Amino acid sequence: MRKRISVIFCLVVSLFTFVTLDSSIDKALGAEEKYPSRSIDMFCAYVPGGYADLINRFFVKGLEKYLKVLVIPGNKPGGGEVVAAIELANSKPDGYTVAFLADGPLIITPLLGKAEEYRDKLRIVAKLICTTQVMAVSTESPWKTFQEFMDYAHKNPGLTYGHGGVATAMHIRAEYLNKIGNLKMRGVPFKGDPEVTQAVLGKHVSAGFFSYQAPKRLADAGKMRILFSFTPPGFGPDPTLPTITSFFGKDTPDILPPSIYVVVPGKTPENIIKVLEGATEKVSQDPEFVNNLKTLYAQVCFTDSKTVYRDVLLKQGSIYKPILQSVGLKVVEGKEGMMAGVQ
Amino acid sequence: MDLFGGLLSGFQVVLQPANFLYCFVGVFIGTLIGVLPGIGPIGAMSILLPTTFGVSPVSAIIMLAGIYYGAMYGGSTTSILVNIPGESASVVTCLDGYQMARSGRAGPALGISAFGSFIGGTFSIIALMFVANPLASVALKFGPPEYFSLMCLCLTILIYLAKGSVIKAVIMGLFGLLLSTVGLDLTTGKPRFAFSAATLFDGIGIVPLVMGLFGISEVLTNIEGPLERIIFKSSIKNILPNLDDWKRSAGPITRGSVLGFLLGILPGGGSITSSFVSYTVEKKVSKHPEEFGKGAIEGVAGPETTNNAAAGGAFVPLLVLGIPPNAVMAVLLGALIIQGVAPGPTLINDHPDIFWGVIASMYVGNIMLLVLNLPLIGMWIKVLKVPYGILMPLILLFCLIGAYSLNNNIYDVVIMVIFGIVGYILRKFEYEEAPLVLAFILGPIMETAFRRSLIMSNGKFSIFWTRPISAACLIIAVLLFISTGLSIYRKTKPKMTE
Amino acid sequence: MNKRYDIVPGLFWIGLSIFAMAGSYKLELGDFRDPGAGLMPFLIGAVLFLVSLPIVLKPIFKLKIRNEIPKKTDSGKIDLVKVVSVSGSLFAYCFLLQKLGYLITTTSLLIFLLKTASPRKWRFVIIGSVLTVIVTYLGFTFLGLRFPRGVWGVR
Repeated sequence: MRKRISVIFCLVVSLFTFVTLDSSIDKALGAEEKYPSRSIDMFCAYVPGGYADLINRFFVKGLEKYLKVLVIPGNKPGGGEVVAAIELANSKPDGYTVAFLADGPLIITPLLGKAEEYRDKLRIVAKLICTTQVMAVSTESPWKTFQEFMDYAHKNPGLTYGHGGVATAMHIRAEYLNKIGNLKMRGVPFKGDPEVTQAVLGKHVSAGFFSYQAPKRLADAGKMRILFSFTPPGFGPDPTLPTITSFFGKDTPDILPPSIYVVVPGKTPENIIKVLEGATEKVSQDPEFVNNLKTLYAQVCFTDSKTVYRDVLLKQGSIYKPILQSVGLKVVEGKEGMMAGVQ
Repeated sequence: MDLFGGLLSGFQVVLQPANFLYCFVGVFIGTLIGVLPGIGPIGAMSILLPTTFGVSPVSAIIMLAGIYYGAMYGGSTTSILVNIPGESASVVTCLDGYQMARSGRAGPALGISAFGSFIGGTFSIIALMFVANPLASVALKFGPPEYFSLMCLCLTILIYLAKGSVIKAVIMGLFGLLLSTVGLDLTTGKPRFAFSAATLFDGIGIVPLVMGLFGISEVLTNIEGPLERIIFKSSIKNILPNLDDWKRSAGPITRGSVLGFLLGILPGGGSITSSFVSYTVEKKVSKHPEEFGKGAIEGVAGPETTNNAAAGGAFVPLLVLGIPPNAVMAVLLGALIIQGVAPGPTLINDHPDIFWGVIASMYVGNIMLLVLNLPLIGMWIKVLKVPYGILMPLILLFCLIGAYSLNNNIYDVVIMVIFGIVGYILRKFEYEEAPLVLAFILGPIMETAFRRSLIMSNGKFSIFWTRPISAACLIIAVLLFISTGLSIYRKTKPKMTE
Repeated sequence: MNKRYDIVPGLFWIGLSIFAMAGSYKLELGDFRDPGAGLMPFLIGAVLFLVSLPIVLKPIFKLKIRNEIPKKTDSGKIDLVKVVSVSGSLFAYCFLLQKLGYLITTTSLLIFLLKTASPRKWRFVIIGSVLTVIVTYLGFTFLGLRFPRGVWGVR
């Protein structure tokens, strides 16, 4: 009896040891392995089922095709995407932890001075996606075009609009339109697009600002009317909609569409970044990926790492800054208000 | 497409072997997920989301929907057995369900919970079929002012939740309200009481909070004495509810079904609120209100029915308008979008197979769940017989894993442990957890609604009483408040004459 | 618990309410027509303060509070050491989980809990803990859960 128990005991302990150490053995044996040689964790900062989460899942599928390893989508929602950013900053820079982050944590949060914990610890590999954001009203309201809405707003200041959250990319664009169109609207903050949709349909606010797909579905069903789109002309899924430059003139500074980027921890070796960048570019040209994105009305707009730092972040930041200030938020000037590495 | 024709075609879809299998897999996993504390339906659905890629839209939705209401069935199991809410909607079931288990009536509690869930779920599906469209437009009429008034109404019932001292219940409510302010203020974007911890920006998670407050504190309370004292009286002769149980539960189940469905339609309203409301309604209309909190079967029948009825009601805004009323529905929405199906007003016309397929699958799923859960009751009762010395570490382990699995964030576990200790201390001083939880949930909705309303009206308070629904809720709330005040006054009048 | 000790939570509530009011004051109260971030917590703190006053003052001035339900007396001693040690172990688990990984930390925790909870032989405790950890690890990983990896790459 004693012998049997001892045998079982030894078996259990060895099984335990094996399971515990096998990952370490992997490491010890493969000294300089090719990247990637095992599964990659790719998480986004949103709840499952959300817009960006779905894009992430499509991207993951595409990435698997070109990197030939398992890529596991994950979610780390919270704190306005900051939780995911911090988590990424503290992850091992070995290329096996990648994240999908948007304008929020990469441009807006640093401007507000709240990005101390990750500002100089991240590296953007590429910009991948541009999303379309629009303004829409209920079909039961009297305005059929943006011009009509604007005229009405000039005569009757104090209309309300709903947006998905204070200091989000959407809110900033709404306030920008408010300013250059002199619409004199009051912003009612909601939490996420579905709440805004509900408020517009129920006519609790005069207009709503959200990502394109929710109002598009409702517009097709005849419940909403999309009046304005925040994309460069001819770029978005519906080129007939008025945009900033098409409506207000070519000289009006435009806001690039809100974007989603592929990001890794800052110290990730350059060769791994190159591999990821290349794979991302390939996915961006993959017809299946592009097709999948169509269901979400998102568009591919690949920009490589260097251009992102040299151009995109700087440009967007400079447009966001005055708008953030106009809604009463304090903005950090200079290099401390941007991700490290911006030239 | 007429109602019955549609339903018939829906059944044809569901009863295809593949879809039938998906339905079963869905409800099975859902039950499992519901039983395991912490990992809620969201976690399960997101894990299974990738598998739906290669599958037809109908099958995918059938499976995911099954997980959702399956979880509602399973969530009550741990609430009753070990006082751990399997997910936040099952919190109320802990109040009386656990007490029933301690007095040897775990079987009837689980039984009535299963039956109530079935009846509530089936009722909501029928209602969904007939009144989905008109109700969806009513739901839209609820804007910020209406939500505020409704929450005021719900908060006044908080006092009825209390078993004992009213003052302590009020303090617990205030504490809950205070805790709910932690996080990023939605209106101004400023963090409140977050101590610069990014995790706290979203506030204290409700699931770790209730798992700690109810589950962990119960464990701590139990281990403070010699463990032989923890005996769950288990006379297995009554595994199922008896006739008396059924008589007492008939009313709660009926009321719960209607209440749950109506409240489930409201985005943000949901299962938790409806289960609290059901509990207090039952306590108010019961002939033995003093039994509540000690093992009254009405306290299990009502809320459990409401849960599942609300789950059905939640499908109304999703299928009719394309608006997900809660995070779980958002995952479902996502799955539909990936499949290229756009839920919304056009769904019923463009994809009748999906609409009716889902509805038919809900019928089938509910029956499957009943069949699945009833025999399991015997098994669950045996779990209670495991010596507490072994049970306790396992309970703690599952709580830890469950809390971590919510967001893969260790701070959720920390919060759970902290509130376990807080709950333990509160129990020692005889403060009750239920009012805290209710206030914690309702507080943010109420405050956000209040401030949004004021922005909408540009500072004018009249917005609350010039809108009919809002005014009605406020009037009822005031009347309720006065009547509670009067009854308390009447109760204490004799004492005052000392 | 004796009626005497009721003052302890009462003092805690007073303290909490003052903390809340102070903290919310810093956040800008705004006014009723245009509430700031701090208005709601401030009001809650204020009401909490008022409601807790009777609890604190009662033992001092021996006022009668209505609706007092007589407390049930506790029979038997309370093993506070066990409660504290178990709570402590849970905290330790949280902090060590990220450093040492799931397998090691959980096994240690289970061993500790099983030993504390009931008098059983070491053999049983260790084998049971290890088995449980392995089963849960495999089971949950199969379900798609990601457990934290330890610092040395140990899972």
